[in-house]
Amino acid sequence: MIVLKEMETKEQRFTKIVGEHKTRIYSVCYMFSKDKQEIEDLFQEVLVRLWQGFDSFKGESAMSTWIYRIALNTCISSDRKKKRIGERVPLSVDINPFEDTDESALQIRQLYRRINRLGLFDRSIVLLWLEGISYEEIGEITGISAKNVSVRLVRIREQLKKIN
Amino acid sequence: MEEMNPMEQMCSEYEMLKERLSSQEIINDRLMRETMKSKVGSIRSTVRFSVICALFVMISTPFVFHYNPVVRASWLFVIATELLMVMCLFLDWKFNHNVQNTDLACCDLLTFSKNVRKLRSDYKEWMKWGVLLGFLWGGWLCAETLTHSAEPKAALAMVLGLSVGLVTGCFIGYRMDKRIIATCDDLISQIEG
Repeated sequence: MIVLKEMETKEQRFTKIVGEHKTRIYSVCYMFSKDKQEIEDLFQEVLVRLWQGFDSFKGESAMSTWIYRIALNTCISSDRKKKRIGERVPLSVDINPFEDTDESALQIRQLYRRINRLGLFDRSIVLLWLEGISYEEIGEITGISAKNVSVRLVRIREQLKKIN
Repeated sequence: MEEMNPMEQMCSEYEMLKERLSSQEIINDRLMRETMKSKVGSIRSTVRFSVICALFVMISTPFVFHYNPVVRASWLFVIATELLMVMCLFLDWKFNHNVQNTDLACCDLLTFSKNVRKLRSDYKEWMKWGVLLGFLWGGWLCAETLTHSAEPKAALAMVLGLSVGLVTGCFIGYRMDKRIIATCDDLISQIEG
């Protein structure tokens, strides 16, 4: 009975945390996908990895750092050609960032195109920077120093200017 | 009019994305249920299946190689085969454990790429030894069959079949290994770029 109660608490806690970070996870999955189905696959894969590693999260880093690490590593390493295990559950979204045609959707696609011209590592750094994360935390997620993050961002800015 | 910096532009576009997503539910009960089911479902059933298969193969090994009149291999060969299987199972578990290990997903991007590099070298090493051991084992089995078999004609057919099987197996393994190494290379170059 006690075990059952703990399980419920853990599941509720997990759902709450995912709820708090769902838009961030979605944004990461979107930037690493080619269509809506791929976003759904990646989102589900990230959730599974988060759930599998939930017990091992000891709070040594911020929850957001841990979630970003898992989301980015999953999106980078996911084998898109592999047949997915288990059922694909559709996400509760009524937008399609790849096909919507209103003004803001077009601008979002412009952002997608810019980010997708960058390599995976730079793409990750830009995404984290856009999310407003500090250089120190970006460094913690990516494994480089805060100074290196700022140098990389300057290079990315130059690269994007050239592309424009 | 002065043109907007691309980074500033990206910031405003990202805000739009966030605003659009803020009105969306995204997750739902079914998705969460399916996610939480995954750990118990996939990992345990895979482990259970592998253990059952391994036990079946290990128990049947003496009957296939020693008591079978076509082969009649020595007990030394049977024991070596069993040990080889245990080693293969262990290495298979180790690789899968490394791939599935959530630590791989929890580390930073650079450490992640280092892990991929390690995985790549492990695969390369395993391929080298795997092919060598496969041929040694196959050669030994052929020798045992040709020496001890009670039915020489059937033994010859078996040796022929075994040779074809071994070469085909090595070819398939080599192709799979190449694919994994190419994926690792791709990941490493994308991250360390």
